[in-house]
Amino acid sequence: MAGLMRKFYSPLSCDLLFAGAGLAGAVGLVVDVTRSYPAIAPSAGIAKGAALVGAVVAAAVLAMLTTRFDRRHADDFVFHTLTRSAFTAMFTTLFALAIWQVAFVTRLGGVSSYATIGVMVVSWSLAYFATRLRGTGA
Amino acid sequence: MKNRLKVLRAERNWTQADLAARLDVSRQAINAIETGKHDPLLPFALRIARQFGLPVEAIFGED
Repeated sequence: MAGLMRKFYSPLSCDLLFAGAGLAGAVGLVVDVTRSYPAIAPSAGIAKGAALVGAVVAAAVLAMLTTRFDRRHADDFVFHTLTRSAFTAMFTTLFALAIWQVAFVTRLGGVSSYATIGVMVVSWSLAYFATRLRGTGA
Repeated sequence: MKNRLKVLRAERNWTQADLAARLDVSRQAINAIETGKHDPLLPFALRIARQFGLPVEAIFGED
């Protein structure tokens, strides 16, 4: 088990994972960017809001647990690379969507939830490789 | 952060892979530290120091 975890958290495994995810995200954005979720039912308001808050809390707990797992099994360098690139990706996603809202939304329409996930995945992949090349330092 | 990892490693005729195996980390982690691309966290820095039998300050220093 320890050997398997070491292989999973090796830099090469992470490189392949992020390359694959980034490529899949980019292809998905190009090929299927118009897919969207069904329209929101008007009467779902407060219930939906409460469910969303609950989902966010549950996701946060899951994220904390998986981060702890990562910290235990990944070496110092891999863990730092993952966390730094996730931080960069978060802002990349926000900026990309903000730029879209300002510059493209009237001509090309809004960004669907699926596309937003694709943007996040591609952002994290790009940020991962930038961190991998430049290092985790300042 | 500056470090003497490469020098200390060479003094003992260890490759990066040798040191990585002794510290149970990836070779890329050792390379990243030696090239200044990564500054290790304190627990890992202490493990490195213990491996060389030196204080942390003898291995890592400020820029």
